[in-house]
Amino acid sequence: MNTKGLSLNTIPPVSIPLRFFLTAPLFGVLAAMMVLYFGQDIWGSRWQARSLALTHLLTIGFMLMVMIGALYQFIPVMIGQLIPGGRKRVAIVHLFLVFGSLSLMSAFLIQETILFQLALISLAVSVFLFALSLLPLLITQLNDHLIVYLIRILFCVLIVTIGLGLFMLLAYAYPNLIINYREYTDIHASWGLIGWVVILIMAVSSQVIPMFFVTPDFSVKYLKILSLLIVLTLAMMSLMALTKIDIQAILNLLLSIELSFFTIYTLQLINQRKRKIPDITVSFWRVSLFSLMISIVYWWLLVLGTNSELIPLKWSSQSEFTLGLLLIYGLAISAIIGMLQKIVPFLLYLNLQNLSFKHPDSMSAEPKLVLNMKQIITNQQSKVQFVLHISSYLLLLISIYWVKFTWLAGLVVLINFSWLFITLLRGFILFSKKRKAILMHPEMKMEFTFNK
Amino acid sequence: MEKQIKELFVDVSELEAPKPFEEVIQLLKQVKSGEYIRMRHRKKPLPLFQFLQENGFDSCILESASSGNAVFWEIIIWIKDDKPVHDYCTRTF
Repeated sequence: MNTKGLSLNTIPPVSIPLRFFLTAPLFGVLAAMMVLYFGQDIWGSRWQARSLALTHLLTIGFMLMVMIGALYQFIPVMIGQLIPGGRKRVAIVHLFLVFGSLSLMSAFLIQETILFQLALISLAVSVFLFALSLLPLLITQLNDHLIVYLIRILFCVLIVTIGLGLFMLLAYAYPNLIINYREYTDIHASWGLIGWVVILIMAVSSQVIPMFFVTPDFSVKYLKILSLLIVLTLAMMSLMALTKIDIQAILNLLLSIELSFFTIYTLQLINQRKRKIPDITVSFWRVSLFSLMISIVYWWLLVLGTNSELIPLKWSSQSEFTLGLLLIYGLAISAIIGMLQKIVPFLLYLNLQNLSFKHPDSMSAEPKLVLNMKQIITNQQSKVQFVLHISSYLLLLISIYWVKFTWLAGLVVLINFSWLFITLLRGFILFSKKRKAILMHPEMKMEFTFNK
Repeated sequence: MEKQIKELFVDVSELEAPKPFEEVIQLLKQVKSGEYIRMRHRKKPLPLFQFLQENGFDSCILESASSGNAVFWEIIIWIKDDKPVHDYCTRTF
């Protein structure tokens, strides 16, 4: 196949994904400040407004923010086309997501109807515009690239999760409507944490793990079937919950098997790395997958413990917070921070390398103007990040049961997200300096030596 | 004439990103007229194709021999204005 006729747009401009990556850690910092401010009161009940504010700071402010940025970066690299809509639309998606997340946090804390209304409108505009941008690609990209398939599934999951979220927000924003939103909370949470998070991690892992860790490719067939099964199981669970028909146990078992299969399969692929060079980002991935595994086991112990005296675990606020932390901080945030250690340096490196070829004199400059990935985020920085992340994760889990650790946990979470922000910002500043230096050299075509 | 055409081969199929890109960049800096690059890769490197198009190269991609479930790709790269090599590559690959 000659590549001459291909119209490729595979190297996304740095400013598009990076604005999401640089904003997200600041929401993590805000979440940590909330833990510090409320102290042990943060672990009251998951229905308390402050817990809801904390959860959404992490899930929307951090997780959704990074994941939208990552899709802006991944899709062009994988399918050769930018997400349509242009820079203006990206700016609107980003701005409204920031504003919506801040409004939602403030709305939960202050309980002002107007803030709920602002959050409702901002988040709806942001997610709707992003979904609208994705839609043409999902309809027209008829090739069967795994990532296109998984993004189609994710698109549906996102619509259900955010749709339910916005529906519940409607109840807060317009109390006169008298919407009984509580029965949708668990459904919204399962679609968000199992559907959106797990399938997104599946999509990201299927590209990042073989690319950066040189493992065998994920089986396209396995992931296609698995993602579809997870969505179908979630859909049936939601219908059962609403109709009160009780085959929940079978569906729970099915979902556990699907999630366990993904975890074990991915861990096994990671173990089959061809070059087992030490890489701290592999550890982030392992923590993420082990967290999913532990949450499945823990969840079953809770279910069985509620019906049996032999198992001491019972459903309680503490156990709900533990599950939430395992899935949000352990599964999702570990994978996201690990992923950022790779994809941000890759994006910056690719842009510098491309630019330097257009300014060929810059290639002979010393010290070199094209940074390698390890100079953009160093191994040492990633190791510090891992230690901070693991410490904060464990301290958060401990603080649910020994509340005097809450303040310390909040402090380490604060350092963890601050470190992430500083690392990414430093990488971007380095990139900007080198970019500026390359642009000082004249733009011209590379000259090749031709034999006369 | 064609005897003078030289192949520069690089196997990046066991390297993690962005090493395949770095390896081929080194070759692109050295490649002269009468030469083409044959790169063995385990992925279709789409960003590389954009890079090549924007920087005066032409390329084509072939499915190479598979091993087990893994499919390998061969990417042939030459200087766009190097007519003899262009003719040779389009005829051969």
